Amino acid sequence: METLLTVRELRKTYRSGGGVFSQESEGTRFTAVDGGSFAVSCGETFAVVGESGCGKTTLARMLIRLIEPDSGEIRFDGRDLLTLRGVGLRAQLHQMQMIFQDPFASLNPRMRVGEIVAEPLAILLRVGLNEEALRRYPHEFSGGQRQRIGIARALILQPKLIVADEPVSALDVSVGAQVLLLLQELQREFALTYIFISHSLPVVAQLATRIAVMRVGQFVEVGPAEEILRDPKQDYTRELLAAVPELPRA
Amino acid sequence: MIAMALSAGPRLLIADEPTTALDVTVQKQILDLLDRLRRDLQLGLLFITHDLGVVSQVADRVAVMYAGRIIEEGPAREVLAKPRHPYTQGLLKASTTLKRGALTPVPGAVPQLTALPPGCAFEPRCELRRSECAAAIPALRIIDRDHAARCILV
Repeated sequence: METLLTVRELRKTYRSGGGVFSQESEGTRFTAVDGGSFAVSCGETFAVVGESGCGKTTLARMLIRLIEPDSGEIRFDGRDLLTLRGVGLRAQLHQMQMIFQDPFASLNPRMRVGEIVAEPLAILLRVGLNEEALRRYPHEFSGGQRQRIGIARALILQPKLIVADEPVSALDVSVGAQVLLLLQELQREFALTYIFISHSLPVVAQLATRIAVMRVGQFVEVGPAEEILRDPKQDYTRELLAAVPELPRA
Repeated sequence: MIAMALSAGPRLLIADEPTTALDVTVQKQILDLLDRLRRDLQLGLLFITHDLGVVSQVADRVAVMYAGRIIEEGPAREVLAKPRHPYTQGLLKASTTLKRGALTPVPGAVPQLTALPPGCAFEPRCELRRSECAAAIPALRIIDRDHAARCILV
C-alpha cells in the first residue's frame, strides 16, 4: 500500500532546571524522543503505546509541527514537512489533524460549537450530534459529546491523516466504546489514516493495524498489531501485556 | 496516600478510583499492595472503580451502580462471568480487552439525575425493555443465595 507518512530519526531534547534565573547557564538535558523512525501507509491505524513520559505525545505533536524537532525528517505525502514554509506548509498541515485527550481543554470555551466546527451541520450530524449543538458552548456538553465535537472539527478540512492522542482515555467505558466505534466507521467512510497514541493496550487492540511500543523516548518493538498482542518479542511489551487486568469472558 | 489513610489504624479502607490515572504497570503494583495490606491488616476494602478488569483483580464481591442505585450485586466472579442485569451485560460488552472486535457500546447516555425515568433508570437504553419497566422501580430480585439484580426479567 502507498506510504503516507515517513518519519526518520526524529529527535527532541528538553532542558530541565537551569531556568532563566538559574546560576548555571544550562540545566541537565533529557531526551523526550530519541530517534523514532517509522512509516505509515494510507488507510492504516498506526498505534504508539507507552507509559506516561515515554515521549509518545511529544512524538505526536512533532508530526503536526506543534513541537519543533531538534533533528530528523518527516515526509508527508512525498513532501518534506520540516523544510516547507508558509502557504506550502499550511496546505500540508490541513491534511493532518489532531484529536486531543481532553476535549474540553482543546475547545475554545468562548466559541459556539457552530463556530468551532465552521461549515458544520453535515459533519456534526455524522459524528452523532444534532442541529441544536450549533448554538451551544463546549461546557454544555458531556465528555463524549465534546470528543465528538473534537472529531468533527478535525474532519472539517477533509484531512488524510488524523493524529489521535488518547482520544478515549478521559471517557467512561461505554462512552469510550461509542467513540472508538465512531472512529472506526469514519476511517472506512473517509479513507482516513490514523496515528493513535495511547497508554492502553486494550484500547489500541480494537483499532490498530500496527503497534509501536515506546519507552523512554525509543521504540522498543514495532510490528503488526496481532503479532505484538499475541506473541511479543520484547520483555517490556510482555510486562505491559501482563499488567493489563483482563476480564473473565463468559 | 495509602500510608496516610492507614495511619489511624482503620478497619475499613475506602479507595475511590485509586489507580485510574496510573499506568498499567504502576496500577498493578498498587493493586498488589492493597491486596497485601488487606490480608495483613485484616482490612475491609471498599473499592470504587469504573474498570471491570480491575474489579476482577481485586474484588470478592461487587455491586454495580447505575444512576444512583445498585442494580446488581454478587460474587465478583459470578457477576462478571454471568451478568444478569442488561446494564452489567452492556458494560461488559463495551469494555475493551486485548482481543479485537466485538466491542458493543451501550447505546444512549446516562440520564440526568434530576430527571430520572419513573421506572428502571436504564429502561430508555435497554434493548430488552418491556412496558412494565417504565411503571415502577424494580426491586432487587434474588438470583442465587448472594447474587441479586434490579430487573424484572431476572
